Amino acid sequence: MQGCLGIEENCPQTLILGIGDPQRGDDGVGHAVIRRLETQSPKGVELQRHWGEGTALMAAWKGWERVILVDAMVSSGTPGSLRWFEGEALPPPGLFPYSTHRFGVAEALRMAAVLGELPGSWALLGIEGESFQAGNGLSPAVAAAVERACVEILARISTVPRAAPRSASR
Amino acid sequence: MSDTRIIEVGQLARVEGEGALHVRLEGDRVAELAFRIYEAPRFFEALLRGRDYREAPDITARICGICPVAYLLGAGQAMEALLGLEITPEIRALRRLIYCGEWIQSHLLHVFFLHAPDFLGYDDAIAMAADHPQLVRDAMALKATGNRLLEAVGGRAVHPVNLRVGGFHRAPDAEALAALRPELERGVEKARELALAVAGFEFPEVTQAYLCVSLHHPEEYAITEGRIVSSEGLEIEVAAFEDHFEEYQVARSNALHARLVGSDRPYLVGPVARYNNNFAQLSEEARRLARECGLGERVDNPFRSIQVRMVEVFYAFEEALRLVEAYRPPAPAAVEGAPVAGRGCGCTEAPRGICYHRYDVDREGLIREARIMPPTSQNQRQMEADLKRVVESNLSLSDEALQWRCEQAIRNFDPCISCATHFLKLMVERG
Repeated sequence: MQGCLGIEENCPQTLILGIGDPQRGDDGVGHAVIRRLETQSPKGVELQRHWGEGTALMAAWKGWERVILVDAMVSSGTPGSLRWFEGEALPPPGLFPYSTHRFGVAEALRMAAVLGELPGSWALLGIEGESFQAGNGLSPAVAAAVERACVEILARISTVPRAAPRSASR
Repeated sequence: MSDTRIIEVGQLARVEGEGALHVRLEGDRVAELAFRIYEAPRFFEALLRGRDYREAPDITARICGICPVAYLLGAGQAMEALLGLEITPEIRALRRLIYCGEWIQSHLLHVFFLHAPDFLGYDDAIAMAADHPQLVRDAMALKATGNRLLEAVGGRAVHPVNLRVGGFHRAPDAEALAALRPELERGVEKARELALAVAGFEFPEVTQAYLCVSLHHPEEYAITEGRIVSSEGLEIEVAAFEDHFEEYQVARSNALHARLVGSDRPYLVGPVARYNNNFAQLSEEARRLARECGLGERVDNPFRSIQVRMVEVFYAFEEALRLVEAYRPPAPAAVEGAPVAGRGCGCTEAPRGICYHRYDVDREGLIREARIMPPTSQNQRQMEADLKRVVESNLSLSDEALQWRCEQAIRNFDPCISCATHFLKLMVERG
């Protein structure tokens, strides 16, 4: 999207990052959500898969005014349950432990807050995982949550006003 | 004071690894110390059976998001050895270039986001960033340059897709690489500044008589290829690795340990081993920087490994700049070959140390057996030896301070489990 001035009609306003590792069971749910959203081609949205290393995440959202992150979560909740974090409510460390080298999405958001580099509008959707066994696919409860997650994400995009045009530098 | 002190470390829940540390002290003596980690590559060895030999690089690259190039190249070069392929100097140079990108981003992540907080007394990099924002911003900017190198050569930063057996799917665009020059020039200077900043840390005084094992190349500081050497005179072809090094089971742990055949000594792989074995082959500027940072030609304090990583970051920027300036697109981008039945071995210097691959392939080109010895499992015994040393020389510390020092010591190796900040749960029992 380099060079997009944010004034063209089709210029994406929102970056959605699906985070995780599809080789690690339910850790693949972030990518599964992106795959599902790709079939619906929502307007004004850029969809990206990301592996979740925190500093790379911060680089990925740099320049985007609106960012939605989706990642598997481990909070002793019901597998497949959804939980949103946004604005002042930074996710506590440890809820999203399945990121390489533990500098993951929660740490990236906290680091960005300290450095003043949070996107103007951000939200993180956590999807409670059940099994993170290498080589497995999504567990049934988590697979069933993909559709609900997409519905919530799309509802959120349509209700939040479009952000001001972004600067050309990204 | 009681005689027995037990330090118990709980499950280290992570994707990269799970591990545990158990220490039993009798008086001032470490009676038992066991450090255990989970090894993801075992799963991949099974996954590789029956797959086409050309798939090995891309499959094994999934083992680690931090060092995919080590797997792409280790597997690729093993297959090239089997097929008898001679790659061109242009392909070789391009491989060294992408590997510089991997060293840069992996080392910087470890040094500034995982290890530096141990030295500066912060719980994590986020707390450190509040007091040292510019240090963190500089490290992130430099790391981003490493990622852009990986993208420019490999097609993308994570799990690069452009590498294959025989070379590359397509030669990177010369203009795209040339565009990186200003950034790499700044990177050389910035890396020097950051190395000097790290040199100002305080380093606990511990020394170890390491048996250093690394690659050695006659013409350059070895990264992508070479013979396997030790600091005590061993020098062998990569294909002879398993004649001299072996993995073995230990009763107290599920993980395999590694040792020299016929000896029970642990050995060290990684930046300190490379530096000690190949110091003379660093560039003049890198050697000067090392001296400015207070390093000698040999490092025997494991806590100074963080400094060696920074010297390697500086050197990797210098090398990347040199290689970008000299870039000639390989034509063809890959050397082709046909499968033959047999065995191929490959080894490269991953950021954490030598990563060895061996594949047995049948005449249809299908993999019959795969063996991967990643650096973290090779270092496991040395980690235990270092921890023993650290515990014994710090018995006067409080449990909390001792736990801190143990974690810091484990992170000297930048193991995959270093990921967790403060992952040790220390329990002390006094009998």
